[in-house]
Amino acid sequence: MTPPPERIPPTGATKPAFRRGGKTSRNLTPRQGDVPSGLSCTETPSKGWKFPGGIEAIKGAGFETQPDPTDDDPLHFLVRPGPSHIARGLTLQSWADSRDAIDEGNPSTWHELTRLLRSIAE
Amino acid sequence: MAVSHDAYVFEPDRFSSAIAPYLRERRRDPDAYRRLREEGLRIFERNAEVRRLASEYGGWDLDAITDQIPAEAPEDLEDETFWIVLLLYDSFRAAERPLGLGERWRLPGGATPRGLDESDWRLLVRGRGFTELPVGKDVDVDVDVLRAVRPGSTASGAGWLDPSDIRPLLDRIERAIGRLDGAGESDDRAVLASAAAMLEAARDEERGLCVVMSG
Repeated sequence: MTPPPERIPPTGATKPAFRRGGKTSRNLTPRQGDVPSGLSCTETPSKGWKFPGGIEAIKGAGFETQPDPTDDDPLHFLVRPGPSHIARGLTLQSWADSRDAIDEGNPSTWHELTRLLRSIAE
Repeated sequence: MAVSHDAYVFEPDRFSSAIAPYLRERRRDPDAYRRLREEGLRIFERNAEVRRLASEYGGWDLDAITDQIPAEAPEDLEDETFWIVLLLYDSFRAAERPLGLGERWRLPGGATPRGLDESDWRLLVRGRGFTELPVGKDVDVDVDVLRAVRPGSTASGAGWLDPSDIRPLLDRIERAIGRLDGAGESDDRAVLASAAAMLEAARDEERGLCVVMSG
């Protein structure tokens, strides 16, 4: 029997991005040590939060991204608030400052940027 | 460079003993994983520092753990190492202040601090692999799972330094600091000072160190 033809994804198919770890709001919020660099994400498939729209979706939500390859993860990149967020006072520092006060069951305690990332993650 | 390098005073023998039963049983006893999970959950509930570290490295809380990590059988090595890492955190000694190289572990151009051998630098940054723990020499132990031990977080890694590594490495770092003449070497001086501080903390307690990297 002839095997079915291999499915080849179309060129330019979206590459998802990931934030490994717990699927919590806290894990979508930077730590103090992430200031001024940004929140670590990766295009290496990982368990935890998945951004099906990848880097483009993150940028589309107003964030800026920066490739930051490491020896262990060449697809590692950083996420920071973009100019439109910063103009509204949503800085990386204010975002990180919100981490300790997060109550996972109470979305009003989540920083606006955390809520925004959650809205494009699954 | 949001991948930070932290260090914790660590008791390698205690950790090695804690994981030994699971490593010996995991291939032959279908209940071994369930017992490991029970132990991990017990530690998580008992030890506030373990909860803090699980939150720091991956934003884990109890709900996320019970939702995401299988209860009955692991799907992959990552599920097994999740619980082993909780046992690892439980073997850390409380520190008076944060230790580690922070974000300075990545010097510009991937350089090694002046005056320090590359092998010493690698030991400081990465530590030894967990297969070098005493339990890794047990012929009944499958070391695959030890190779996979790292926090459940982005861009993570972990390793350890034996108590016997500490004093010789500290001596070499202090000599390297003494050789710096100052001009244009502030990055090297700062990172060597951080390295000396973490090694001094281990030396003072006559313990080893565990190094943790995480984004």
